Amino acid sequence: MAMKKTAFYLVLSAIFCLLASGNAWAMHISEGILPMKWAGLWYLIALPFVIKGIRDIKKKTEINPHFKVLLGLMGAVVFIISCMPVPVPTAGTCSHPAGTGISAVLVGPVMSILVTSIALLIQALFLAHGGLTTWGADIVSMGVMGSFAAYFSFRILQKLKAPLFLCGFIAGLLADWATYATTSFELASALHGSKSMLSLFYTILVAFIPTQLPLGILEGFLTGGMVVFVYKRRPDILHSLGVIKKAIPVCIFALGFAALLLASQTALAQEQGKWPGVDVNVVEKFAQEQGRPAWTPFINTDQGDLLLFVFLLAGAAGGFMAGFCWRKLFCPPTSAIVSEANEGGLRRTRRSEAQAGENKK
Amino acid sequence: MKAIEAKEVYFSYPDGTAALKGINISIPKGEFAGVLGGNGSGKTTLLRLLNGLLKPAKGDILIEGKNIKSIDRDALFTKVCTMFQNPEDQLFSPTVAQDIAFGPVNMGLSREEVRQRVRSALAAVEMSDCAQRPIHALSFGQKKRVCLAGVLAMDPEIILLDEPTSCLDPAGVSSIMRLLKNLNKQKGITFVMSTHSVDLVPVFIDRVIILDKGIVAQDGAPQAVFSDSDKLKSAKLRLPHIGHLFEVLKNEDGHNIEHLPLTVGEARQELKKLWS
Amino acid sequence: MNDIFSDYFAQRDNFLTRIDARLKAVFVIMAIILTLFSQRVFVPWCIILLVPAILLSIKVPVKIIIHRICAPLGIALSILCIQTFYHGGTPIWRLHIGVLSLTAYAEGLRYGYAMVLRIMASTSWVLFLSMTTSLPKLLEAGLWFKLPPAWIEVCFLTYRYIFVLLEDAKTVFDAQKVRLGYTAPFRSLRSLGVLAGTIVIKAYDQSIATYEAMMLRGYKNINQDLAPMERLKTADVLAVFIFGLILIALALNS
Repeated sequence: MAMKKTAFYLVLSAIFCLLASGNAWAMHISEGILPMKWAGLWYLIALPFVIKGIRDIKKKTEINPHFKVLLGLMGAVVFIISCMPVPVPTAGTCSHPAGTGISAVLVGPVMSILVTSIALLIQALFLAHGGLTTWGADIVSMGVMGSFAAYFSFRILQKLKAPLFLCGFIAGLLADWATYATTSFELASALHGSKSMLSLFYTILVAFIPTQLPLGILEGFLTGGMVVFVYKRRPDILHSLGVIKKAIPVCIFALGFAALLLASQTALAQEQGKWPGVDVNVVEKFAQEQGRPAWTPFINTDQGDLLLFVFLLAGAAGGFMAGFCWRKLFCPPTSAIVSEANEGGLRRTRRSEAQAGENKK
Repeated sequence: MKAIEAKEVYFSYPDGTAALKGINISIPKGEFAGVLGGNGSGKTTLLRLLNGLLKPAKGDILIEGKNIKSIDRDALFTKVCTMFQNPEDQLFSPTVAQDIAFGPVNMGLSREEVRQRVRSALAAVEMSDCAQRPIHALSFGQKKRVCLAGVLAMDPEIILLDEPTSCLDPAGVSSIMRLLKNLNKQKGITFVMSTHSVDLVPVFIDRVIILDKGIVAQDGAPQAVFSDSDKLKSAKLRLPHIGHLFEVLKNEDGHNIEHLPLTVGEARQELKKLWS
Repeated sequence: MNDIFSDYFAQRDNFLTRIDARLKAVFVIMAIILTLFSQRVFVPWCIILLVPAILLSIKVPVKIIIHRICAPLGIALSILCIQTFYHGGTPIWRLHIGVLSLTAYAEGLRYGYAMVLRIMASTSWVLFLSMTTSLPKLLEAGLWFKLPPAWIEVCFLTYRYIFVLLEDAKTVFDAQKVRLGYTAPFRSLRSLGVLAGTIVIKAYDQSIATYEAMMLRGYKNINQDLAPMERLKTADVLAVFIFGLILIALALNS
């Protein structure tokens, strides 16, 4: 029976895949698919991120005056990359990358959400990809999930000293897959009706596999190739955008590690109540026999909400340190940005002179 | 009165490239000056110093006698406007009218005044019927005209032009040059134009400044500057074609030609003399 | 470019493009919401037939209209399939594939059919808006509706430079193609990476040049050139009001 059910969902997925693959625009939810309440919900979820992005523009423009103009150009880049036809062998047709992986790596996740919202609006209006009522849902899937998946995977791999191509590849791959997983979730949650949401989610997820799985890999190659190319040709761009960062001070890791240890110790203490360890079963037993019973701990975390309080303290300490050192962690230094921007301006002078020479020829 | 002066100006890029070494130029008000030179001679760098985008390492830039450092930036950008070589660098609004209005709006003018300036600027560049057209729908030549209109709308006294004729077809070149010359004559705007095109110079330009590896190789009227072909060659330039023809007639065919003609009109007069 | 953007049609001069962008935006959004709430098929069918007829009357080519509705139609049909085989209790048809049998349900088919119509009707409205209103006008309307000026400004720049970067991308793509850059799979991937990198570099350099040009024309981190829109014309308001009433009447009756 379970096998039959699985086979049924697979066939359904195949039908969905055949009809929806076409030019594999499935990552955009078309106009009218989502009922109003679901459309409204996704708008509400997307809104804070977009508002944060708009607020951050002002702060970033104060550090780097040409940042707003750069964002406009990045929006154009996201749009163009999402229009690039990438042949997908399994779909037998061309598909289109999300492009949010690239923007997240270059300008950060929050700004990437902002430029994605713009690119999505233009696509919805003038290419009929996506829609106005589904704009919120598309921002959440492509902008929020895609950007954060790309950004954090890129940064984590960078910290682990992975090769630059691999960092970009995984960023592009996860941006694409996170987008399609979220889109599947959005569709399933709105359309499951009285049936199980999970089963519809898996059906749609499986239906997307023939196109989105290889597309994710292709987008990974695209993103990785882009990062490496820009690094080889113009490393100053990656430096000025903060893509290539300086090493994070060790003390931050130490503090973070300490917070993690504290949290894990308290978790273990909690667990000891359930599964008594060697200290209770063996050591305490011997100590008792030798007339040296265990002392009551100075801080007995097994009473009341003390354990939860300790968790709270650990989280607060870690959060405070991260917030206190936010600029060191994520913002490039002011002088470096200004001098890079100036150098970029000067480099343009020399390039325009060279271009003029080529035009003359 | 001098519109723009550069006194012992030195400039080097952060990588150590010395772009300008001891530049001394002085352009009177209402003059149409041309800055010629090969690639890497420092033409664009000079223009960027004159409009305040770059600061000289040594020396002074004076605008109507005042040091550029002491002039308020808003006042400077209103007085000295720049037309970039690539129109895509300068056209950043979606429609023609919006782009031309950009400068006047930032100058704090009233809406009515802005509209008036947009209308006159469009009329000056003969594009009055294109006000609402999107920029991306314009041809390259039209974009260049819109760039010029955007600059004219700010009513500047000095306009710096970075290769205004590059990538234009011959009709476009003569059209834009005629436009600039008319503006120079009718409105008394001082033009400083960087160009490679030596054939244009004698027809439109009053004064030629030749840069060679960051120094002023020659500075004077076209006739005087183009009389020394060795200096021209060293600056990676050449005589205008007309002048080159007559140079060959003089040096290789032994014809008696006192002054090398540089324009078609001068050549015609010289030929008449030769044939008579 | 025109096969990518339907903005081209919005630049033309006709009775629809002359209607104020604010009114059209509000009308279309309300129309989409009403379409999504409609339970019966009458309203969506009216819209699916009416909107393309209106677009044809302003000389939008049939090919473009069909091209635009293809992608949403594919998705809509797949939704129809899922609903048919997924929802309902009254079987109308059975498909046997080996040991597996797929059952089509009447309720699912009805529900899926209604969804298809809603999707196509909503898409028709968006098509209507995009072919009668250029993006700059829509963004000006957005500003009038108090959308954040910073976001609008970035939108304007994005719209402007899409065309510039698209030309550059096409040039680079062609240059790669004529040098056999897309003749083998891995080579194609590499070429695409280089293409993306080139666009990013051009975008960065363009942003610096554009910012300098803006600065030289008095820009101080906020574009004051975003002009307020003129007063609404009575004729426009009346026309939109009447159409809106008709739509509401249809929606309430359905």
